[in-house]
Amino acid sequence: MIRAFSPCLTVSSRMIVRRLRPVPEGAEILVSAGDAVEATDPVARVELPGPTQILSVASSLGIPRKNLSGVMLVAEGDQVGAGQVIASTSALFGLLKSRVQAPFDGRIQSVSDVSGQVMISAAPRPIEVSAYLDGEVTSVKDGVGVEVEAEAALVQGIFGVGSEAIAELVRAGDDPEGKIVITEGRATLEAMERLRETGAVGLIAGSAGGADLVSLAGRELNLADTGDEDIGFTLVLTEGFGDLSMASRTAAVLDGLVGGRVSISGATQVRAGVVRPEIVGRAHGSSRAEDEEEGGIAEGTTVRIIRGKAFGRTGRVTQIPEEPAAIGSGGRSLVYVVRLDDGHEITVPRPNVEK
Amino acid sequence: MTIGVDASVIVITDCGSTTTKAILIEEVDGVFRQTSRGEAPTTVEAPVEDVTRGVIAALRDLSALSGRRIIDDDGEIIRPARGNTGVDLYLSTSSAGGGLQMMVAGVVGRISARSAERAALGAGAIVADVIACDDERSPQRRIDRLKGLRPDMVLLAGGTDGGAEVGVVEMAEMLSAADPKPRFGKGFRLPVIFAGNPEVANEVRRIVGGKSDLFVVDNLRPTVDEEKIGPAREKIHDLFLEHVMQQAPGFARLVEWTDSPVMPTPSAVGSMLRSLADTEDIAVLCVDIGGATTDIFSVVEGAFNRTVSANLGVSYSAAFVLRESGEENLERWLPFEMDPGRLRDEVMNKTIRPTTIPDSEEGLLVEQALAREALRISLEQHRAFATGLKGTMGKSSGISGFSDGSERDSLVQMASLGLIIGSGGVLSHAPRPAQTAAMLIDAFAPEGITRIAKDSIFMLPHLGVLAEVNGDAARSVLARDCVVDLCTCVAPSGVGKSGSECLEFSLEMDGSVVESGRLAVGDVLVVPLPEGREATLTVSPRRGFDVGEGKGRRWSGPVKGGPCGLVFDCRGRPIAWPGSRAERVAAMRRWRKAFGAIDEADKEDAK
Repeated sequence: MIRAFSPCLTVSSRMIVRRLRPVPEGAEILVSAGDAVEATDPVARVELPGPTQILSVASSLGIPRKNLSGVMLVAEGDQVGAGQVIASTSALFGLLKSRVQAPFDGRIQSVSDVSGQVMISAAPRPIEVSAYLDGEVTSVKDGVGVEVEAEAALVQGIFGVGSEAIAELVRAGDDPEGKIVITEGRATLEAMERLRETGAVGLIAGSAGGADLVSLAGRELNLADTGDEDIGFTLVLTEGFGDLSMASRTAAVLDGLVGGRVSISGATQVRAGVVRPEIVGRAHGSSRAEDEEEGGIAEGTTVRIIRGKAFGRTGRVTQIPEEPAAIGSGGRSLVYVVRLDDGHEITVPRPNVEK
Repeated sequence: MTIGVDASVIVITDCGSTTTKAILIEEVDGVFRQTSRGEAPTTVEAPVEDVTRGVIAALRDLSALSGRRIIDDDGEIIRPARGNTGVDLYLSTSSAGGGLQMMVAGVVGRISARSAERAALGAGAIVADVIACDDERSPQRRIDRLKGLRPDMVLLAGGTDGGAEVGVVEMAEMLSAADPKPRFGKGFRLPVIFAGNPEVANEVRRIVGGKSDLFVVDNLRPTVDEEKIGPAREKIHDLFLEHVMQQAPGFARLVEWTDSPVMPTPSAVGSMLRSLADTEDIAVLCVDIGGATTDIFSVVEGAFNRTVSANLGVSYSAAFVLRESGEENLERWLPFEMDPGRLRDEVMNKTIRPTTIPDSEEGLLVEQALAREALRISLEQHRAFATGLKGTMGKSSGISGFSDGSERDSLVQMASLGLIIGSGGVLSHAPRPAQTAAMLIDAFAPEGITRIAKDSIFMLPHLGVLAEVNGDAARSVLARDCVVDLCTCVAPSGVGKSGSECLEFSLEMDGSVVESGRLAVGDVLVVPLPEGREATLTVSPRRGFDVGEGKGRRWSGPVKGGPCGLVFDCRGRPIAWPGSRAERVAAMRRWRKAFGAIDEADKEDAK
């Protein structure tokens, strides 16, 4: 039997989910392999280097650059406090004094008599890395990360905005403050603005208008690489842009998570090393045979169409022709023949379906 | 090099970011021809993480299609060729894993930083950022940017010999403060090439040497009037092979397999284009438009330039194209009206599902509109970059002997180009050759007489690395199998009132006139001229229009045919667009029909 491979998003009510929680070098690991953790528990703590600022000290003091070392009151490697005078000059028997102060608490990194500049690094910032999943620590790799594993429900979206959020999942219409809200259809600009105003931490929707998202963010977003934006909450779209409804299977899995705590991430990376946004919550129901099925798409596989007029429709593959066939654009492509759920049979380019 | 000159069976792979493409070249009756090709997904990412796995798969595909056994049971390349087994020579290029990614820095953006950028791009790098003392960013923003980059190496320039010192040291301090980490290799120190004022080399070493592997080469701007990028470019190549390739998954093995050093893909393309321009004595422009980026290469009067428009492509970067072009510029290429919100959603969906393909004519036309805008903006960027060191004084540079980097001062003047070569999926896989030609002509707006061609399987990288060891073989395949003529475009430069007379022409073949006529401003006409045929064209442009000999002056000379014949484009330069949306739609329908970019059924609709 011919089998073809098409990328697909994971939608499962029960599966083993493993997530490597990356930690920077030098992080203090707070857990050990075998520890049970909750999603909000910290697994590592690290002090990230503070920002470095370059001060044009010679210029500020009005002295030749080569004389900088001679007027410095601190040396490379010294700790300094905000407002501390780090260099000074005096003229007219001390009547005219000029000085330069440290802009923040930090450490003098370098003093250059060539550039006349001083580099100062701010004090490190403490950061904690959360477990993200309710599960068990399976391994700890120094300088790499902590792997957490859980039996959970997992839904990958197609596009997201914003970082991780962990909160209770509620339906649209419920009190959204501090919660993650789900709606199966299109999220309008008005609805998204209202959620931002009322303090929701996340929104899961079938789709949104591209122009609405630009309005909400106040700028064009880099769709190919997201995760650090701040639009007021974390957004996960399961289908894309326009007026698209959530796939019934996705909606069913998410329905089982309503009322419980879920972890979501808006991070999306479309280029190499693809990352999709996701929703992880407690496992429910039994795993479906199709979830376990590997090896791509064969005759009989249920597929969903993800482009064109038939977007979102599902059906079963009835033929996988070996040779490219004519498609609606006038070009040729490898295709599947799919019998839709309403009985119609259509020819679809292979890249335009997912399992 | 003598290696490879006796080889008669040659296999070459290009390990691209998504696909590894293999070609087979064989000497048949004393002539080198490309006889077969195969491909497989590139395998530098998890879970495989070994580029040679993709190479073997591509070579197996090539074996299956050519009937030649290339890989033995142990997964090794069989050498030498005996009958229908084995090969004499194996070569490769690579841009896998994102290719060679660099950050460059200089003191003045238009001088040392520009030369550093040129050196990096010429060596085949993707330049992630260019930092200069005079760029608009605050020092803190520059440091933050540097911290966030994970380049393969850094090229630091600045100061003429015995010239500026302070700015160079400032740049070194900034680099030290940011302490960027290399992309590959944990615990591996970032290679930094210093190609600036040699008098501050020791100070630069003191500042960055403790954190990086510093290599000092000749100053790439020894004087303001002289650019010497060769030593920096060679060092980039060396470090690419010695450091980057060795760190990338599986590359150490690939390097052992090849009979000549693996070249960065764009560097190989540049090598081949230089050879082509030299052989035919013409100025050449070549574009490779991908899903994420668009590379443009040009060779004009012996000067080679390359730019990478890192966020202009038709899938991964589709939304960025919309952002750069604006909705109106994108929409003007559609022969139908489309709600701006729906157009935006269509483009954004393509970005987040980049591997899907259009299955309707409307979807295809949106993608081809995206391609036109990506090409147009990439060319603008290329022309602004490809400027000489000497020329008119720039408005703001304030330094005698420098251009201001505007298109006006560009080395790439559209009227001087003899050949434009298009490559990349959206051009190569367009359902009709006329669509490919139309996209290139619309986007680039060539002037005068210009051959339009395509490299349908983007074989230039393979031939570029082959040219390093066997130039004759590379040129033979280039001429016979690589560059495929689509049409010759005749486009008078100038503007005129729509409908007024623009030119008169006659076309002679075998001593007799086969076609003649008069064309008005706004007309597009295609005259059939079969592939491989040459004819003599005489064009008399009206006053105000120029086809190469000056305004209103007659031009006569040989022209080559192709599947799209001879295209007369009298839309003016720049192309004159009607004012209203409805008129633009009507004009686009008319032009599509004239180009032959639609089939017969659509032609009726286009009326």
